Amino acid sequence: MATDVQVEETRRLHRVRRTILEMLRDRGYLVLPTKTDLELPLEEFAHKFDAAGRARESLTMLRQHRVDRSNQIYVFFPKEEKVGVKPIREYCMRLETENVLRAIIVVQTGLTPIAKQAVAELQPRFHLELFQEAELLVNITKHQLVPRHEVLTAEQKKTLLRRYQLKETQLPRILQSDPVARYFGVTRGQVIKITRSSETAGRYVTYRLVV
Amino acid sequence: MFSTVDRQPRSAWSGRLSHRHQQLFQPRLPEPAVLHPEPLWTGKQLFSAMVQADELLANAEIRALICCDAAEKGYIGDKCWCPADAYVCVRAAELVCGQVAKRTIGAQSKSALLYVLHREAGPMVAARCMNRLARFASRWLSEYGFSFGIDEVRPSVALEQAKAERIHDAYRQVQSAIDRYRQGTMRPRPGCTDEETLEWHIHRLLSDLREQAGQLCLQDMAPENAAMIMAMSGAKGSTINISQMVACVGQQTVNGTRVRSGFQQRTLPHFPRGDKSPEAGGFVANSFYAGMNAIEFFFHSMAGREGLVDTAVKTAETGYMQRRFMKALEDLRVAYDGTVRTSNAGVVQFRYGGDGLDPLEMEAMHGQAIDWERLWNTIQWLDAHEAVALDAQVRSPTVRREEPLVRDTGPSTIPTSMLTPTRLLTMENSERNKTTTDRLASIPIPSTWPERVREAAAESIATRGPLHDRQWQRFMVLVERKLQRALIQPGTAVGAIAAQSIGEPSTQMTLKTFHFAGVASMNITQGVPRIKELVNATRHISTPLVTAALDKVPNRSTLELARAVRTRLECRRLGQVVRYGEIRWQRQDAYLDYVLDEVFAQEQGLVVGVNKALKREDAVEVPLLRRLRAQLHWPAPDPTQRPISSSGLRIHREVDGTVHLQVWPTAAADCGTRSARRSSLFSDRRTSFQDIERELSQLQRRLLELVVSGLPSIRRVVLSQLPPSASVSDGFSLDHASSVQLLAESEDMRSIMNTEGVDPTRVFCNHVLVVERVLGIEAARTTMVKEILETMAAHGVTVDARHVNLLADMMTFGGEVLGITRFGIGKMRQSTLMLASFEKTVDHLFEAALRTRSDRIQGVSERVIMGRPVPLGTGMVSVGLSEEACGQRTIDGHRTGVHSCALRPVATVDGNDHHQGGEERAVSTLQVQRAHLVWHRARPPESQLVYETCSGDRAGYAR
Repeated sequence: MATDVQVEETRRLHRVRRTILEMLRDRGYLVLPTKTDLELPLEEFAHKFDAAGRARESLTMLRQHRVDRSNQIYVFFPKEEKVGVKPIREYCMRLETENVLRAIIVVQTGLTPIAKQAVAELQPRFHLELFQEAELLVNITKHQLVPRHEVLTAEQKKTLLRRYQLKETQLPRILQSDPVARYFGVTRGQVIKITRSSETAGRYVTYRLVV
Repeated sequence: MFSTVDRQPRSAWSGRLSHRHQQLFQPRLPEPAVLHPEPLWTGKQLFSAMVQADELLANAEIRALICCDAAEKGYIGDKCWCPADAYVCVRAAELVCGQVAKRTIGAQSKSALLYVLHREAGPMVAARCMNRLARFASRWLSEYGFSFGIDEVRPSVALEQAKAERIHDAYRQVQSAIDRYRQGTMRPRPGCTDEETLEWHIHRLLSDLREQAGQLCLQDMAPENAAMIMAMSGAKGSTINISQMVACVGQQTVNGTRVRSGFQQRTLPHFPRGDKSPEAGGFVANSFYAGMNAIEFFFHSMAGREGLVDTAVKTAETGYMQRRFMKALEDLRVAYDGTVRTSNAGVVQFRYGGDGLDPLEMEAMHGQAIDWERLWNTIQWLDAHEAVALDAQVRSPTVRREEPLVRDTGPSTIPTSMLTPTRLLTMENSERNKTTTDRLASIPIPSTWPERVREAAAESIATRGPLHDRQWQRFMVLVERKLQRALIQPGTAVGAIAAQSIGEPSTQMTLKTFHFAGVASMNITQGVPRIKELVNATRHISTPLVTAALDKVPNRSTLELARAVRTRLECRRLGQVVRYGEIRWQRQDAYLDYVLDEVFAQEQGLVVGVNKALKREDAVEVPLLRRLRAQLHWPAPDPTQRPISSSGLRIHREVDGTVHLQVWPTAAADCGTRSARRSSLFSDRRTSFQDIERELSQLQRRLLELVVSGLPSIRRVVLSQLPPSASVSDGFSLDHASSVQLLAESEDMRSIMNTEGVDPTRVFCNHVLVVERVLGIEAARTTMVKEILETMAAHGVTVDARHVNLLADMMTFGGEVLGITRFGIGKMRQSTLMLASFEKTVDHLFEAALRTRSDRIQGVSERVIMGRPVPLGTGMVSVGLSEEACGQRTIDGHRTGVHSCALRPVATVDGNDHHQGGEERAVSTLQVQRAHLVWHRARPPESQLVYETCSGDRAGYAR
């Protein structure tokens, strides 16, 4: 029988998994809106997780992009509370051998300073994103205060800049470390289209450049 | 109050009206209101004649636009049938009913008659009308007179008696509350101490008392009492001032509470210690007429002094704030493409205010472009009096035919199908129940109107029922015209306007703190300090608050769920659950023994956990013990090792029924068997009993601070029941189905969102920087707008949301929330001259000199310093010659009349750098027209112009 600590952990992981999948879906990766994938009920998840010996590694996912099949992303769940260099190295090997360029690492509390350095060194080759479990319990893009964000394609961005006769630097900005920007995993130079509901206008569209 | 003038004969009436105004106007004598036994005219007719006596208003179609509805101060109800005749109704510049007072001819309200005159007939008509009214009023006052004396505020004997009774009653109730407090039988209000609860009760009773005294006093006053006339007409004073003069001055507050004890548990040495009575707390039962006694006078001075100090301090504070607003926003303006840009053409808003409308031109409250009620009144009047109006025009030869009402506004945005006579819009009852979007679909409203206007138009049409095509046409034309006028003009200095529109009202905000709506005891910083916090983007705000809505859980009442969630959130420490504790010495052992307050713990929803499992001392540990252990960093018990209590913590029910928490510090130190541990502490006698005692009492102090439930970051959680129809005023409304909210004194928004039972999508926080960290820059921007507007609204100040939006956009446009402080503005701007003119002049100049910075002289401050026109309004447009066209010659075609150079139309919105790679683009005719730029000089046909619509460094060529 599972203790209540374990039940608690299972629920947390179930929520985290769901947010991760929603995040991947919103980024354009292949996620099915079915009971086996995105809508996996808690009981089944708990069952599967227990069957896998409650190992966080069992949650590891690899997803393909809906359009660009070569674009794949890994999601890792390291078991350590504070992740060291070793698992990072392992993940790297895996990315290297399977030729995957992007990965999300869901850490429980954080990284050791050395691991942080290691991640920074890997950054140009692989696109590694770090999320804390507490940040993923809730999907912030569903929050009432968060308006709809969409990432513009390069073509759309060009059209926008032409339309308003703008240089990139003249757009409003959003930090790459902004929670919503991190949710979409955008990189510097991309433009996010934001559709707010406004008291005066009903709907108001603005754009922000990722810096 | 002119309309109170009695009915009077022709001579008196027309004398009043005309000879006092010399040759200013020639009134037309209307039909007398009373015909028999002699013709008599009323004061209302007099007023109407004065309003109508303008040659422009002789035009029936303009006159028809002068409709106004306003409830004056004494308004009771029933609109035009108000028993106090305080509902002013004006149709086609004719006063139909109501006594005219401040709300009709004042400047405060948008429903005022003078405002309507100004909007619909123009400023000259309004000014002339004001002039006539002013002349009339002053003449009337000098003849009829108006005086105020001590008699006006003398209370009647009956009033004195009634007041004495009320005071006696209220004092008795206060005394009984104090008695309950002393006996400890007072039920504390949620989240309050006993003391706070008592203060709350007393405050409520005494403010009721003052209210009642005021009511009595007003009932007692005759309507012709001079003080009443002044208050009701809005000339000076309010009903509160009257009742203070006549009946009772009321409670004096210092720092938002009753007067505090400054003389050893009493407010003044005249009272016994610990006196909580009304008199000792600063309640003034006397009126200004009766006079205050020495003690009352002292308290009154305390409150008065606070008011003076507050005003003095606030003036300086808001003044500085306004200066900073101005510096941060000064060079924002509307560009020709409708965007709001800074001086180096960075976009702050893509469309000003979201809808591109000018706040100055908004007709209705809450920034609405059109006052629909008034519009329909006009249309209805026109409808009903069409024949009469036409007739009047034909009959009076003096009327000049003005422009037609339906003016050609260029290529119309109204589909022609809508204006055909066959168009008959009918609305069935079933359609009225439809949502606004459905209505929008069924009503042909031009898509060029801003979305909110379209919605409101559909709404107002739908509530009107069937319209015939003439009404429909009028409606469309009027709305279209109003909207055309309301569009913001390119070049408008929206930043400077926003800075003043926010800065000025904040000087009016009085009182530092306010009690939180709905829940007492939650004191939220309000007023100027709060605005300051917000716009400075302060890292640590004084009263952080998280508002959380609850999840909808089937089969569970919201209140029950709310209590459960509160337990999960609110921080409870062991000390709050323990009744008493002691160190127990046994023959060979010592431990801490706490008796838990089981009732309190259960009230708080804490599972103390004396259950069967525990009695068997099973391996399952109750959450309480687990939490304690985790905080003490004691090792977890080994499930194989029984009894579990041997690991140092145990909950245990004694025979007498009390629940005990027992702690063996030595047991936890090393998790061996019990006897082994005992030996480690006592057997070798390596420590004395004094040492053990010291160790235990240290542990005891630490233990009491341990968190038994909730999150340590949350000091207090209060449930708040929203009224079913309550909504947040700023557009996003909370779902009303779950009407219970949690208010947490905390800034730990993320933990609260992550808590089960809370609806994570509806958790709000008043700390902008926290919102930025958790939800991102956009949510922070929304929160900023909402907080500023709410703070202003709490003080009865309304500011157009467009101004606040612009401020928030400016603060967040760099991607992080920047305060309007010298650091924030430093990050927003690059210009050295501008920064040096703000603060730390020498530092900026030194830095610039050291790093050889250059300044493009584009912003307002820089331009002013250099003595050049500012890039706002007409100064935004400049004429330049294209470089390749004039070669290397520096030609000032405009001044020298040399036309040999080729000028090509160019519109640039990125004013800077367009010679470095920005291409020149042809502009549409419209844009050229809107550039307000007329090239008057004769020019050769092949000559071309360079229009620089946003200033740039090329501006120098033309000047």
